[in-house]
Amino acid sequence: MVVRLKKILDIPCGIRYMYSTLNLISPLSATMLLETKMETDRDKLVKLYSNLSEFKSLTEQGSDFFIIKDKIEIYLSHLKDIRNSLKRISEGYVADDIELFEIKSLALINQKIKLLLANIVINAITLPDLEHVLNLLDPDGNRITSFYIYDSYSPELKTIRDRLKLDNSYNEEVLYQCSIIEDKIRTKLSKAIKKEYTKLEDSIYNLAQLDILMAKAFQLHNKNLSIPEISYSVTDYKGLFNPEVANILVNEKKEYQDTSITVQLGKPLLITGSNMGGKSLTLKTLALCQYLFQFGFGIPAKSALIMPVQEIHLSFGDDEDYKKGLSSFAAEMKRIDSMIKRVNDGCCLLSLTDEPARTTNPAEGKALASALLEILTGSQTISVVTTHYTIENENCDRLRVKGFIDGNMDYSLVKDDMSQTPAEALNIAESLGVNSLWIDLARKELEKNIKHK
Amino acid sequence: MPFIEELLNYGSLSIVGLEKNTGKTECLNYILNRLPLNKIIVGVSSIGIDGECIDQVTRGSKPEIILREGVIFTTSEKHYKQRRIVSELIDVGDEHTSLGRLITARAISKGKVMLSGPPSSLALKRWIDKLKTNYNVNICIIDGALSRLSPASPAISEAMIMTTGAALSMSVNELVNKTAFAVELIGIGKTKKQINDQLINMSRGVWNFNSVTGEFYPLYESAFTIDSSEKFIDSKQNILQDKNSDTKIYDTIFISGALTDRLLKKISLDKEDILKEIVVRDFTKIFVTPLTYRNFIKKGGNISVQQKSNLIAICVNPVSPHGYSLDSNMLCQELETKIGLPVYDIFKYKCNS
Repeated sequence: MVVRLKKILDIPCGIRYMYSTLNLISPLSATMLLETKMETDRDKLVKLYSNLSEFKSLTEQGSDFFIIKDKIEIYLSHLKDIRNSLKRISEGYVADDIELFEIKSLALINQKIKLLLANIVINAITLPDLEHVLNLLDPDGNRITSFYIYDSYSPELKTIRDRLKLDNSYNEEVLYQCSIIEDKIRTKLSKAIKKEYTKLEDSIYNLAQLDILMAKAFQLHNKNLSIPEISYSVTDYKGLFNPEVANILVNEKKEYQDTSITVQLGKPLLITGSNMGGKSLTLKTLALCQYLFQFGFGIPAKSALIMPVQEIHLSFGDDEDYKKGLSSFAAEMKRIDSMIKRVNDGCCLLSLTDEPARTTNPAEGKALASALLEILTGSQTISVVTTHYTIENENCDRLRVKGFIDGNMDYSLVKDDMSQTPAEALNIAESLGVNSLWIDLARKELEKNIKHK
Repeated sequence: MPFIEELLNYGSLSIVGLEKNTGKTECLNYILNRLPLNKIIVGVSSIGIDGECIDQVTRGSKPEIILREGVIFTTSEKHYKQRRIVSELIDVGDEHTSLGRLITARAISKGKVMLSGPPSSLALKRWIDKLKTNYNVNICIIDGALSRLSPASPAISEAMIMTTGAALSMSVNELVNKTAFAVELIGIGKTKKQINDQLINMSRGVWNFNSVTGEFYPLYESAFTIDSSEKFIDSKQNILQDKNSDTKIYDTIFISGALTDRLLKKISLDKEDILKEIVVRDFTKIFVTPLTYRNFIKKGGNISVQQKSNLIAICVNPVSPHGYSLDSNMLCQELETKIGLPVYDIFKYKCNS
């Protein structure tokens, strides 16, 4: 299954936010970026990030590239998606004036940017030389963005047109003769351009890549992202944050508390902790980072070591699918089932499960969650599971949200050795200002239960 | 004809017809043919589709638009491909219209084109600005229908020429009255009040506006729902209570959409509202009958526009597509007396010259 960027934009983990804060100049680059496939190949990922780090240093203030950046952006803003026209020409179709005009514009942009980049060492982008195309479409050498079938293409055309101008009247017959010669010239031009097809395609691709890499590099600087290292068996983030939530907090003049997290291949990580402790957000941020990584973006962490996976599986409890007649529990079971199927196929996964089986009775729910951990242990997956259940499993790593301390929430994750989950739900509900009668009755109920035991 | 000289004082001109077949294209050709192209650069486009050889409605034959060498024109992709002219393509726009993108080109020979241009007032304004800054165009000519259906308003141009004629009415008297009322509306004065950008950008609503402080609040949601706008009247009272002020300081009513008969009657019944200045965007947004309008003015009402163009001449076509024709001399005479503007019969001038 091919995963493209446009397919995953609406996964609720903040990927759309990252995409929308990319400052892409040309709509063509946006289209091409959205069409990009998720990269699973280790070597290609290495290449993606070596390109990005090259642009990271290129886009630092004061560099040679930074000085010409504005000019490049102006040229790129005229870049248009003419891939369909090019494709048709490559199949032998005769281009009309509008298409020839657009090819000429592309060639002009390509040559101008090529000239700008001539004195800078860039390995990531190589623009082809389109001088020949330009000569074809600009026989007079004016080098301005305009096009028609110029007189200099054919002496015969020039004679007829001169006659037309001399007459200074509208002459249908002469115009018809003109159009016949013009059509011949268009056919000839289209054939010549067909030979340059690969170069033109190459130019479009590289110009779009230039735009995309510039945008990614500036995002890297602006959002304090980092370039990840690629690992074989572990995923490890130091100072992990969710850019979208961090941005909201900054606007409210609050501070984002970043976290650090390590997950080993085949050794599930179990996160426990009180409600509102940021467990789900951590899962969503992990999903976001994995996607960003496999699409070659900067990673929102101080440092990141990430293992590439073939598929990313997210399971969040709330999306009951009433249209398909599934309850929230049934939808969740189906979702986890399809994930397990992929695990059994030996597929390398990132599996993120938020509170498995939480909507059913505690005894069975706990059993289901516990069994899920057992399946994930030793498999080809990087897996993280959050839960409120008390699960005893020695094979998984455990982290716990530090929780309520002196009335404030401490979101940091600490090693957790106890198998007893923290009981803070009532305190948190109280701090939310929930009806006190309800809370008091619940407290009494709890005490009754303890006495019973 | 004298008005060609006068045109040179303006940066933009629109040609509007009160009805189909009143000689709009004929008038455009007349102007295009006489503008001194050796001295100025001329740009031309259209709000609707123009220059087609067969009328889209009546299937009658129509004059086509003829361009001379050097004229810059903007049309849609579809019509550019159908051109019968040698022209140099200079720009392909990003905006999409129902007939494709907008193509701007320079005529290299004499020839015929069909024009179809920017789809909205804002796009039209952008078109004028673009031609002036990028291609040093001195005068932009917009071939514009007065058909109220087009969202683009020809009123954004500095100067205007209106065409009228036998196609509008068979009776000279009615033709003169209808034309005179249109001229009266075009002549409505420009408001002297400074209206906030924020209010100008409102796409809907009828607003009470205080021209001193710049404050405004909605009076009605739209001219069509004035009876069901209870909540707006509530909000009016709230605002007045909050600010502890009286209504007099709200001295202007700004109408972002259409001024209808019903709305104007409602305003003229309100003792406070009738004292206020009513500001509409331009004359094409006024949809009232002559009777209602004149009654309102007699009662002491005051209407002004935010954007006004200068009507410089009226052209008549005494021939109707339905087969009858009116006496050209008499018609021009009657119109001139009633309106007080120069009136020309382009067809006669064309024959004479």
